[in-house]
Amino acid sequence: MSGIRAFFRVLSYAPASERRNFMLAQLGVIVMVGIQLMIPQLVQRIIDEGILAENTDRVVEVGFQMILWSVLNLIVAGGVAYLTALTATNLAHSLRRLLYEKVTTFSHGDLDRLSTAELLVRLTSDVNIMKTAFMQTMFMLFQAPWLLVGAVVLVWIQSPSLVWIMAAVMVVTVIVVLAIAPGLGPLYAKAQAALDRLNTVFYENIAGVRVVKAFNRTELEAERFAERNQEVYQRQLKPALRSALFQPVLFGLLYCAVGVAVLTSGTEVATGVVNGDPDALQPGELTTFFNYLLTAMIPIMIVAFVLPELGKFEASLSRIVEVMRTEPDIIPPTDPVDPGELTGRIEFRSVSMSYLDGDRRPLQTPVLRDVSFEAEPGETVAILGQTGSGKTTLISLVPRFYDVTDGQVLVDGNDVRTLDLTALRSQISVAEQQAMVFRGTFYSNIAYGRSYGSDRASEPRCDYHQAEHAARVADAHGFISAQLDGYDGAVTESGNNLSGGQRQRLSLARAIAAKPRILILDDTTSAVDVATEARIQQALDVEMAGRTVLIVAQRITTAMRADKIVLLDEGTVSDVGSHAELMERSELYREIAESQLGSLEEIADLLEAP
Amino acid sequence: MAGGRTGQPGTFMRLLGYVARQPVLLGAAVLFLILGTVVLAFQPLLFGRAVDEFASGDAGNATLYGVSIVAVAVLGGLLTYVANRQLASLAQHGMELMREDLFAAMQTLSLGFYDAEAPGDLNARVTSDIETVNQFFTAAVPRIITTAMTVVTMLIIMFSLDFTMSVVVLLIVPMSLGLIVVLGRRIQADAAAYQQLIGEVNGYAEEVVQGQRTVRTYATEAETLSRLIELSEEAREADRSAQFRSYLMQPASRLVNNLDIALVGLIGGTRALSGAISLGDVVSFVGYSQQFGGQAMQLSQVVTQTLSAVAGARRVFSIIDTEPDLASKDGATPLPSAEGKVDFDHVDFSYIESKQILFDNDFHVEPGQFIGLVGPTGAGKSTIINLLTRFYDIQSGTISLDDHDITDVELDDLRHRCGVVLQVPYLFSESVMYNLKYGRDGATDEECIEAAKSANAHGFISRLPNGYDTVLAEGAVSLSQGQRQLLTIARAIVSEPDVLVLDEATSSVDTRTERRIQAAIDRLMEGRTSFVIAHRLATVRHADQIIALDRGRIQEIGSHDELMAARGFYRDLYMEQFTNGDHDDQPV
Repeated sequence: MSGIRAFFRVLSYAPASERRNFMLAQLGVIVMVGIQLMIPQLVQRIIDEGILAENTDRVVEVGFQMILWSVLNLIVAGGVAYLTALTATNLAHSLRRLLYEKVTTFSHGDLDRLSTAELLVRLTSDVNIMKTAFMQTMFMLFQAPWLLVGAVVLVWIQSPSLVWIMAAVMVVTVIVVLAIAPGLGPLYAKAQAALDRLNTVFYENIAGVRVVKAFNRTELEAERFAERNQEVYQRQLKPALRSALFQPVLFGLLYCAVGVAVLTSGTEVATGVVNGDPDALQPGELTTFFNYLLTAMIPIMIVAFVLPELGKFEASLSRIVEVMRTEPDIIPPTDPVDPGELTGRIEFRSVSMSYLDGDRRPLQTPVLRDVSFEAEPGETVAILGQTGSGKTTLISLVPRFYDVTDGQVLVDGNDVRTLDLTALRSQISVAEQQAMVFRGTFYSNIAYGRSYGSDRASEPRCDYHQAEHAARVADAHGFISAQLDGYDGAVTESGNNLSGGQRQRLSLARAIAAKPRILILDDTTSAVDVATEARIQQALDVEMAGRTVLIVAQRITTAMRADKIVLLDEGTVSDVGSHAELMERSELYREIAESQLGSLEEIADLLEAP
Repeated sequence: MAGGRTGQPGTFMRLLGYVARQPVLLGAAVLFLILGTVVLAFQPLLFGRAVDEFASGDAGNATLYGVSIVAVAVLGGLLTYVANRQLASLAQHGMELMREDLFAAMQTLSLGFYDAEAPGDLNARVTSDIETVNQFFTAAVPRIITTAMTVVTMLIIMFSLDFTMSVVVLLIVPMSLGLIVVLGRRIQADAAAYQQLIGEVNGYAEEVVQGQRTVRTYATEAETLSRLIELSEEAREADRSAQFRSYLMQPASRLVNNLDIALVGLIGGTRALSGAISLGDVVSFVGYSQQFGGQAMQLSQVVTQTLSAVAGARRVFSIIDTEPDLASKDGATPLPSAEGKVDFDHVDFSYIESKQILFDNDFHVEPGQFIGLVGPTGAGKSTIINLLTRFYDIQSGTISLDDHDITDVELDDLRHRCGVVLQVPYLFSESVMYNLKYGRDGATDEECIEAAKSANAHGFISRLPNGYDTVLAEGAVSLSQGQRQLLTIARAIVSEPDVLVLDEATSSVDTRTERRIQAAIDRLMEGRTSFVIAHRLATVRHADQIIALDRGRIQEIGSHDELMAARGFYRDLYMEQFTNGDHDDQPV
C-alpha cells in the first residue's frame, strides 16, 4: 500500500497538465471496466435469448452489439494507453533531467563519497523501473477495484443465490494471494543481489583479463564463478517456485467455485426450467456466473502482478530521493565576485585541509597542514613529494574542487570561496593523470573546453587550426595525424581505443586549447617517456609564457625546469625554492634527485662532457 | 564475430537444449503438465453437460457434476503445480549451465578477442543478454509448454464434439496472427528504436557521470545537461509510441476474441437449430472460444519474449563458439620449473595484420640475468613482455624458454613460470588476502603476509579496517594508485616466478617508496631472470643487459657502461633526461 502512496506522491509533484491527463485516463479506465463487465452479460444474452431460445436473429443482434462495444473499448483503451505512455515517458525524462542536474552540482568531495556506479543505476535502471511500474499502475492497477466491485454487484443483482459462493472464493483467493505475493519482493531482491555479485566476476574477468591470464588462475576464477553461479541458481529458484503456485491455485479455486455452483443450484435451475419460472436461476446465468468469476479473478491477478512492481517503484523512488536530497558540500557564493580576466597570481595562506567523512565531518588526519606559498603570474611552479604527501589535494584547491578546512587559497588576491565558480574554473585548466576523455572525435575532445563555457559564448570556438596547435604542444599531433581520419578520427567511450599515454596527451591538448590563465598538470606525463616529456615541457614553456603553471611531478627532471619547486612532505611544505637552491639545502630533495638520476658527481660529469 | 552462423530455429533448439539436459525430469514435468491440462480441459465439457441437462429440466446428476468439477479442479491444479515447479527448477538449472558455458568460453579466449571488444560493450552484452534469456526460461518456456498443451487438449476435445464448430473457434488463430503481424511488428520496431536511443542516453550518462570531475574542470555542466536532455527527449518520443502500441495489444486481442465468440454463438445457434449439435455443446464452444482468446493473448506476449531471447542467445552462443586461437598443443611439453634461459630468435610480430609492431627482434638471456627494456613510448617494450608470456602468438621467428619453443610448452606451465606486474595495477573486489593468494595456487596466509612485508605493503594493509580481510570494493575502501601497485608487487612475490616481469611497475610510486620496493625487488630478482621496463633509466642501469628499442627494432644491447661508451641511441636517451630535449628533431 505504501507503494500506492509513493505513486501519488510522484504524481503530486508532476505539472498540472500531467495530473489532468491522469484524471482523464482514470475516467477512461472506468469506461473500460464498464465495457469489460458488460461483455459477459452479452455472452449470456446470446446463450439465453439466442441459442437457448433458438433465435438466430437475436444472436446476430447481440453479437453485433458485442463487437461494437469491443470497438469502443479499443478506442477508449487507446486513449488511456496514449495518456499513460505520455505521462510515464514524461516522468522518466524529467527524472533523468533532474538527477543529472543534481549530479552537476556535486563537488569533487561529494563525488568521492558517492559511488559512480550507484549514481548511474539511479539514472538508468531506477528511472526505467519507475516508468514501467508507473504505467502498469496507471493502466492496470486502477482497473482492479472497479472490476472487483462491478463483478460482485452484477452477480448480486442477477443471481443472488450464487453471490455467497463468489464472496467465499474471493476471500480465499485474496488470502492466498496475500500469502504468496508479499514474500516475492524480498526474494527477488535477494536474487538480484546474487546476480550482481555474479556479474562482478564477469566484469572483473573482462577488465582484469591480463591478470587472470598472467597468473594463470582460471581455475580459481572458475571456482569463484561456479560458487556464485550456484548461489544465483538457488536464489532465483526460490521466487520462481513460489510464483509457480499462482496459476494452479487461482484456476483451481475458480473451478472449485464453479463446481460448488453446479452442485448447489442444479435443482433450482432444472425446476425453474420445468415450471417455466422466470424468477428462478436461468441456465445461462450459470454461464454468466462462471464468466463473472473469471472477471473478478482478473483484478486479483493484476494486483498480485503489479504490487511487487509498485514495491520496486517505491524502492527506486527512495533511492532517487536520496540523491536529490544530498546537499553539495561546495556552495557557490551568494554574492560572487567576478574576477574578470585572471592575471594568475596564486597564494596559499596557511592552508590546512582534511577530507570529509560520510557524515561530512573532517577526517582526523589532515592531508595538508599549514601550507603557504605563492605563484606569481607567468611562473611555473612544480609540486614534488612522495605518494600521499598531498600534491593532488593541493592543486585541487585552486579551482575550488574542495574547500579548505583552515586558511585561504587566493587567486588574484581574492579568496576562491568568494569568486564566481564558473568564471574561476573556466580560466583554469586541469589535466589529470587518469585522464578522462569522451566519446567523439579527437577534435571534439580537444575543443571540449573552448566550445562550451557559458561565460565565453561570445569567444570564437576552438577551430581545427587551434586544435592542431594545441595537439602539437601536447605532442599528440603525431598519433592523431597517423589516424585514418586524422582529427576527425573516432575516440570511443572513455577513450578505450587509446593507450594511457595517448589519453594523457589528448587531455593535455584539451587543457591547452582552453587557453587557460592558469594551467594545472597533475602528473599528466607519467605514461610518456622522458624524451617526449621534455619536448612537451619545452613547447609548454613557449605556449604558456606569461601564464601560471602548476605541475605535480614524480620525476625530478620535470621539477628541475620549474621556476620554483614546492617540496611537500606528509602534507607540510618541507621547502620552497629553485632546483639549485634545493640541491644546496634540502636533504630530502637531494635524496630524490640521486635516486632518480644516479650519483651527483656522475651527473655533473655527464653534463660537462661534450 | 565468428561462430554466430546458426539460424534462428537452430539457436532456438540449442536454447531449449539447456532445459533438456535432464531428459527424465523434463519428460516427467511435461507429462504432469499434459495430465494437468487434460484434466482441466474437462471442466468446460462437464460444465456444458451440466447446463445442458439442467436446461432440459433434469437436475438428477447435479451432485455428480458438481463433485466431478471440484475433483477435476483439485487434481488439475495439483498436477499443474508439480509440473510448474519442475519446469522452474529445470529452467534455472539451464540458466546456470549456460552462464557456466559462457564463462568457461570467455576464459579460453585470448587477449586478441578482448582487445577487439570494448569492455563496456562486452559487460553489457554478458549481463543483458543473459537476463533476456533468463526471462525466456523463467516466464516464456513454462508458458509455451502450458499453452501448447492446453491448445492440443482443447483441440482434441473440441474436434471430438463437432468439426465445424472447432473450425469456427480456431478462426481466432489467423485473426490473432494478423494482429501480431500488424501491431506486433510495429511494437518490435518501436522497441528496437527505443533500445537504440536509450542505449545512447545511458552511454552518455555513464560517460558524463564518470567524467564529472572533468565536467567540473571545464565548467561544462550546462552543456552536458542540455545534451543529455536532447538525447533523452529523442528516446522519450520513441518510447512513447512503443508503449502506446504495446498497451493497445490487449484491447485489440479482446476485440478479436469477442468477434470469435459472436461467430461461435451465431454459427452454433444455427447448427443447434438444425439439430446438428446440442445447445449444451454450443455453450461449451462459447467457453472454448473464450479460453482460446486467453491463450492467444498469452502467446502474443511469449512471441516477443522468445524473439528477443533468441537474439540474445545468438550473441551468447557466438562467444561460446569462438574458437580459442591460443591453446596448448596436443602433447605439449610440461615445464614444472625453469632455469630462466630466454631466447628471442628473429621475432616478427603484429597485433593486426597491416601494422607490424616488432621487426626481427633477436636477443638471448642467460638464466638469472637482469634485463632492462628501454625506449620511447610505442617502441614495443610491453609487446615483448606480452609475447614472452604468450598472450599473443608471433608471426615468424621463435621464442624459447629453457630451449623449449614456448608454443610447444603447456600454456599453464609457461605462465606459472612467469610472474608479471602490469603497468595498470589490477585488483579484484575481494579481500586483500584473496588478491595476494591470487599469485599462486596453495599459497599460505603466512607466505602472503611475508610477501606483503617485503613489498612494503604490510604497513598500510594493517591500517585498513579489517587488515588482510578488508574487501576492496568500489566506494568502500579506496587505495591510492601507489598502494595498489605495492599490492600487485606483493602478489608477484607470492607467485615465486622463475622469470620476473615488471612493466613500468613503479611509475605511480614516488621515489622514496620506489626505493623501498626496489630493495624488495632486488631480493626477488636474485637468481631469477628478470625483465624490467622503466621510464627512469636509473632503475635499469645495473641491468646485465639493456635492450634499447625504437619503433619495434632493437637499436642496441649491452650494459649501461658499454652503451654509454658506444655514444649511440641509449646515450641520447639517457642524456635527454638532463638536457631539456635540445636535440629534438620534431617540429613543435
